[in-house]
Amino acid sequence: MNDMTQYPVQFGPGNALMGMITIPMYRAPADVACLMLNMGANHRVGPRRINVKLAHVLAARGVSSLRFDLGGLGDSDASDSSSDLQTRAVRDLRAGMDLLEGMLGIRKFAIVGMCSGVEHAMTTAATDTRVVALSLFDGYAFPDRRSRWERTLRRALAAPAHPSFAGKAKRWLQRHLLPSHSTKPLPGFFAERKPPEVNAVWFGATMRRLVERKVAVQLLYSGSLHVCDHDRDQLGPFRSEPFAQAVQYEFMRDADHTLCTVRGQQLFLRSVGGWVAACAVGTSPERRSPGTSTSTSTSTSTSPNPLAPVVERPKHDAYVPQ
Amino acid sequence: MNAHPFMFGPASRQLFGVFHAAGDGRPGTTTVLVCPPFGQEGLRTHRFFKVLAERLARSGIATLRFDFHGAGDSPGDESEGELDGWRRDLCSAHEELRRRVPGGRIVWVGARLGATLAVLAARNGRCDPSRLVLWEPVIDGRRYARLLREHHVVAIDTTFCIPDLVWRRSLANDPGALPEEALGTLLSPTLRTQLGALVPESLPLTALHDTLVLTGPDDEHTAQWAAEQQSRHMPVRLAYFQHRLDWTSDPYPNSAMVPADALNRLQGALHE
Repeated sequence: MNDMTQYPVQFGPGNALMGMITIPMYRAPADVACLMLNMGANHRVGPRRINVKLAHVLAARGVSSLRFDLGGLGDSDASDSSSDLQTRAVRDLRAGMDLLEGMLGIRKFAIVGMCSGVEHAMTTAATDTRVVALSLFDGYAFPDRRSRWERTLRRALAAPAHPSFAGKAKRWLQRHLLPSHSTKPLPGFFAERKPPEVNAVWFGATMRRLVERKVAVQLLYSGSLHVCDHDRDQLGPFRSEPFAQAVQYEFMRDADHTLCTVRGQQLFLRSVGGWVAACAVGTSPERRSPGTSTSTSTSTSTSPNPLAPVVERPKHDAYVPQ
Repeated sequence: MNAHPFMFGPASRQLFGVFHAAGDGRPGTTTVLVCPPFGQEGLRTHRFFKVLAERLARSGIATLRFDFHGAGDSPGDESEGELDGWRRDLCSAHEELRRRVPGGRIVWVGARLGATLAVLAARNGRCDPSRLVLWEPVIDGRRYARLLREHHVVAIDTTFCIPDLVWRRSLANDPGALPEEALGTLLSPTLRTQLGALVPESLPLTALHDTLVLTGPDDEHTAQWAAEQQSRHMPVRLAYFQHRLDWTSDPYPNSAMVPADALNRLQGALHE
């Protein structure tokens, strides 16, 4: 990988957070940088190193990125246990933006959130205007009755041939009939489950707010969880809302929730990498020509601090979806 | 945080590492180099080894963790992964630890394929660990690849509500085939060839260092391999160790990420 430079960083309160900055080496970085965070309790390389691969894809397209572990996960330490997980996650993401702003001069950000990371990404975007783009994979879904019935029917038809059916059925029964201590999330550590109607109200209000602010949003849904999708089925009652038409929506039938297959990873990288790069490059009409910054074109991963003098301040124009 | 992340190694093959300096006022003469497992096993045990490194550092044992080329946070593509390059990476990490803590005795703590790489690297003479701690080393590449493949198929079954049965049929039709991918990680053609050739006989220990092998009580193959090394009068000891860490699973409520018994056992292994 000679077309990028990578810098391990420690940041946040008490330098408790650890991550990796990746910047394109031979071209001017875009004015929007990308942040990637954990999916569940997995290490910052995400499910099977996907965030590393995405960072490399983005660097090849001229986009800088920071991938890091939220406090208490992976390489990062938990600096504060007095506030809930959501508050800490938002604070950690803002610390990541502060770091990139200080080091690279970048003031606009895209966040890639997967699964539980979707809530963190949306909450951060709702409270911090530096976020101009969100790519959300397998986050909130509100399939209507028809979609749920179709999904259930397809599952039922497949069940006799499903090698994991017995185990899945057993776990479902244990969860619903024998709730044990080990299956309940710890308060303040894992996200506590909220009623669907509460999630729906929050999702709708937040999405409207973000789209009004011209934040670009990509909604991705895997085939492994959702089985089928005809026309924005996962948005359910929100399908007809104006914001639903403003977001980029994709149902990835061949991708699984944890991106366990190379095929699924390729689909994810192509979709998210292309979309984030388009958002990032599209916001920088005044991008510098390659070679205008000697630090960028000559920096190596072993030089002491090639980042400091590199970047010009980007304009504060709002993002316009492409 | 007493950990320092950094890049090291030759410019053409940089590696990501985290150095855990020994606690203030308590630096000892022993240091530890962690040799992580491959693929999902590496991601699964990442937090475990972080906590172990912190414990060791607090007890005066400086520790270096790192990612092999094309794995974890190190640069490189998975398609470039192969045992010879990783063996050299391990020696690069050894030299880096030696540079940071001159004069200390270096113990390699390896798990799964990382333990196998430790055996391969320790016998080539380029680096000089004083001791190897091998936690369930992979001594049969084909058996290991088969295990990864089986777990991959189970993961596909479990993940998809409507499973893609092609994976399972392929496994049933040709159970001995070496997989091109497993649990989200590519296995390069070179790596597949090397795993196919990896047998207990290709992993002879040397007398240059002590070796402690930790494995489960039902792992007859590793026990037999260790016994063969002992019969060659190599300084190796086998200890049985059962733990609650599932090498290939995602973190679930009943699959501990950092089981205390395993932490205690590995920490204790440095002082035996």
